[in-house]
Amino acid sequence: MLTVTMKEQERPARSSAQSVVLRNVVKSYDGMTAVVKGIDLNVQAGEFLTILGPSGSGKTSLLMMLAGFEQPTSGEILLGGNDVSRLPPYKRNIGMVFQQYALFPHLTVAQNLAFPLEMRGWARDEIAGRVAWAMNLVRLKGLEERRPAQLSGGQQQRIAVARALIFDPELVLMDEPLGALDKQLREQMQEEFARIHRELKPTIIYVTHDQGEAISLSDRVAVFDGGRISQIAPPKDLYEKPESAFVATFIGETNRIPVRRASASLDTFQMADGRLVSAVAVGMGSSDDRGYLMVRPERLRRIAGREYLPNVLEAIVLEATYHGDNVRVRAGTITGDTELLYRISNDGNQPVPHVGEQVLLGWRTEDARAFPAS
Amino acid sequence: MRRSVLFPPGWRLLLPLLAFTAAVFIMPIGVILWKSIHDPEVAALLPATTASLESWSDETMLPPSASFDALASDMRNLVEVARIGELALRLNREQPGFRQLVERSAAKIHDEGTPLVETDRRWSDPASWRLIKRASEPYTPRYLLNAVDMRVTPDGTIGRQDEQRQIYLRLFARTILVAAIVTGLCALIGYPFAYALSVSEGMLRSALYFVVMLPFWTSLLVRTTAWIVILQRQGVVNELLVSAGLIADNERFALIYNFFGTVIAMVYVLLPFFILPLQAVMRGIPGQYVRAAESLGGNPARVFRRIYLPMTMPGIVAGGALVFILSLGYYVTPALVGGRTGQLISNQIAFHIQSSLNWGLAAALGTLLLMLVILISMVFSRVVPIGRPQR
Repeated sequence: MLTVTMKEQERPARSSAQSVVLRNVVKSYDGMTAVVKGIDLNVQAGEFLTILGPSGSGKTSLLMMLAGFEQPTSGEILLGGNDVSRLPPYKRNIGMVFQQYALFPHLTVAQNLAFPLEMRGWARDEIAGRVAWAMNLVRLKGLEERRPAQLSGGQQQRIAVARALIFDPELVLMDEPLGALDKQLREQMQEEFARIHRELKPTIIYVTHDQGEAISLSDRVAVFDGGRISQIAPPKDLYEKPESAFVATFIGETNRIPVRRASASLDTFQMADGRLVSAVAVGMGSSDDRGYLMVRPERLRRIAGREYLPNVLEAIVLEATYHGDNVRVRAGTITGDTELLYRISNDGNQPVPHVGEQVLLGWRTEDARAFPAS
Repeated sequence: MRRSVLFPPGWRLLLPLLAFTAAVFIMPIGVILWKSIHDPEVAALLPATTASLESWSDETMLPPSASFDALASDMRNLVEVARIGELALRLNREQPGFRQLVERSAAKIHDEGTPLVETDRRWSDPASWRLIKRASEPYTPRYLLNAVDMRVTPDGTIGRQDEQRQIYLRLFARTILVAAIVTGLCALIGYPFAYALSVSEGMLRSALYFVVMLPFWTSLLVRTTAWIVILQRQGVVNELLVSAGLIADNERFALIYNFFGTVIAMVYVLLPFFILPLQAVMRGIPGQYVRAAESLGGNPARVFRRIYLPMTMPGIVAGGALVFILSLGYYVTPALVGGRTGQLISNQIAFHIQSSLNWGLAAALGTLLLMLVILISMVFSRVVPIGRPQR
C-alpha cells in the first residue's frame, strides 16, 4: 500500500531563490550513447525533490554530476546562481548522504561530524558547539565518542544525515539512504527525514527507486526513464494524474487494458472484445490508434445494487489474496482476454468474493486514463 | 554442543602443518637457543681436568697438583687422538694467546715428558686455571655476552669486550638501520604502486601484478648478476653518467659491494612483501569514503592525510612489519652484493657457523636476533592488531 501524505505545497522557503538549476545536462561516458539525455530542472530553495527511477534510468549519473564526482558532457549545473559544472566536489558546498553511510570508521562520531567543519577552517570551540547542535538534531546525544561500528544501522544513518547538514550546505544529496535498512527502520527514518526537513528547511535532492519513500517524503518527484525526466510533479499529481504509461505503471499498481481508439471521440475506446469504454485521454495524438487504458485498483469498484457507472465489465474472480487491511482480488473478464485487479477494504462491511463468483466491476471516466501504446 | 576454545571444529586439519613446523622449525630453533648457553666442548675435551677443578675452591691460589696432572694427561691424550688443535682454538677464543700456549705445552708434555708447570710460566698463574675452569662449565652466559660485546674476564667478572673485538653491537645497529631504510624506501615506492594496483582492473592489473611478482620468478643469481652489470664501476649506470658528461671517468660511483648495494638490492627483493598486503587493504576500502570526504569539503591532499592514509595504515603496518622483519634476518643479498660495509648480522652468524666454527656465538647472535624480531613484532602488533579483524 502506498502512503500518500498530503503535504502543503506552499511552505515558507529559506529564500525564494532557485537553489539548483540544471540546463540541458547531458552525460555520455563513451561519447556515443548518452545516459543522461538533456535534463532541465529547477529546484526551489528548501524544496524536497525526489528523483525516482528504475536502475539504469540515469538518476545515479545525475547525482554524481550534482555532487561533482562526474562532469556533464554538456549543459550547466547552477548552485545558488553560480555555475558549478566544472568545480571539484570539495568546492561545491553540497552535503551528501550515501547508501552505505560512508562514516569514517577510524574516527569517532564527533570527529566524523567535525570533519566538514575542520575542512572549512572553523575554530575548535565553534566546532564543539555545532557538533552538539547536530547530535541534538538527530537525537543521539551521548554517543559522541563511539566509533561508527559501535552504532546500529539507524544510528549510523542519522549521523550520516547530521554530517551532511552540519555545515549548512547549499544542497543536500541523498543517494538511496534507506536502502540498507530493514522495513520498520526505513519507515522510522522517513519520519525522521520529514521532521528534519520541516525544522531546517534544507534543499534536498533525494534519489531512490522506492516509490513509497518518494511519495511520502517529497514536495515534488521527478520520474526518470531512459535518461530523461518522464514527469515531474507533486506526489499526489504523479499518482493520480500520470502523464505517461511509464509513470502510471511505475508508480503504484494499475490495471492496464489494451484498447483501440473508437471513432473520432477523444475519450471513448474499444476493448479487444468490442466493448466500448471511456477514459481521460492523455497524450493521444490523432495518429495514435492503439493504446492502454489504465485504472488504479482502488478506483475499480464492484458494483452492488443499482449503482450507476459509465463503464462496467463482467468478470469472474480468479483469486482473492488476504493482505490484512485489504483483500486483493484478481478477476478475468468473461471473454477471458483481460485481467483486472481490485481491492476490497477489510472493514467488515464488504463480503470477500469466492473464486469463480461472477462480479460486475466499473469505473468513472475521470478515474481512468488512456495513453498511447509505445 | 559446547564448542571448545582449545579444539575448534576441524582442528585435526592443522596437524600436518603443526607436525611439520615442530620438526623443521621449532626443534631446530630450540637447539640453537640451547646451544647459545650450553657448551660442553671443553668439558668433553678435558674430562679429568674438569673433574679435578671442581674441588678447587680458592681461586686466587693455584689449584692442587692433582689438577696439573689431570690437565697434563688430558693434553697427552688429545695429542694422541690429534684433537689438541680443537682445544687450542677453543681456549684462544676466551683469551688470545692460548692457542700457542696449549699447542706448545702439549707438544712438550707429549714429546719430551716435561711436567706441565715447566712448559710455560703462565701455568703458574691462577688466572690461566680460572680461565680453564670457566671454559669447562657446561652452562655459560659467555656467548650471549660476547654477542653484545661483553665478556667474562678470566677472574670471573663481566666487562666490556676488547676494543678491537667490539663488532656485534655495531653490526646489530647497522642491521636495524638497513632494515629501517629498506622499509622506508619500500613504503615510499610501494605505497603509490599499491594504490595503482588496487584501483586498476583487467589487463592493466594483470600487468602490474606481473611487475610486482617478477622478483619471485627470477633466480637470485640472475638478479645478482643483473645488479652487478648495472651497478658496478664499469656498469650501465656509471657508463651512462660518464657518457652524459655528468661525472668524470675517474669519479665513477661505487654502487655495489657496499652499504648502498645492499640497500638497493634488498628494496627490490622485498617490495612485493610491502605492496601485496597493502594493496589488499586498499582494495577493501570502498571508494565512497574518499568521495564522502571530498563532498564534505576536503581537498585531495587533506582527504588523503585525514581519511585515506589512516584507513590504509593497517596495510602499511602489516607490509612494513613484514619487510622490516625479513630485512633483519637478510643474508643472501648482503653476502653477494654487500661487500665489506654492506654485511649484516646474519652474515656474521653464517661466518661463525661455516668458517670459524664458533657455533655457540652463532647461536647467541641468532638468539638475540630472534629476541629482536619478537620484540619488534610485539611493538607492531600493539600499533595494529595483526591477525585480529579490523572494526
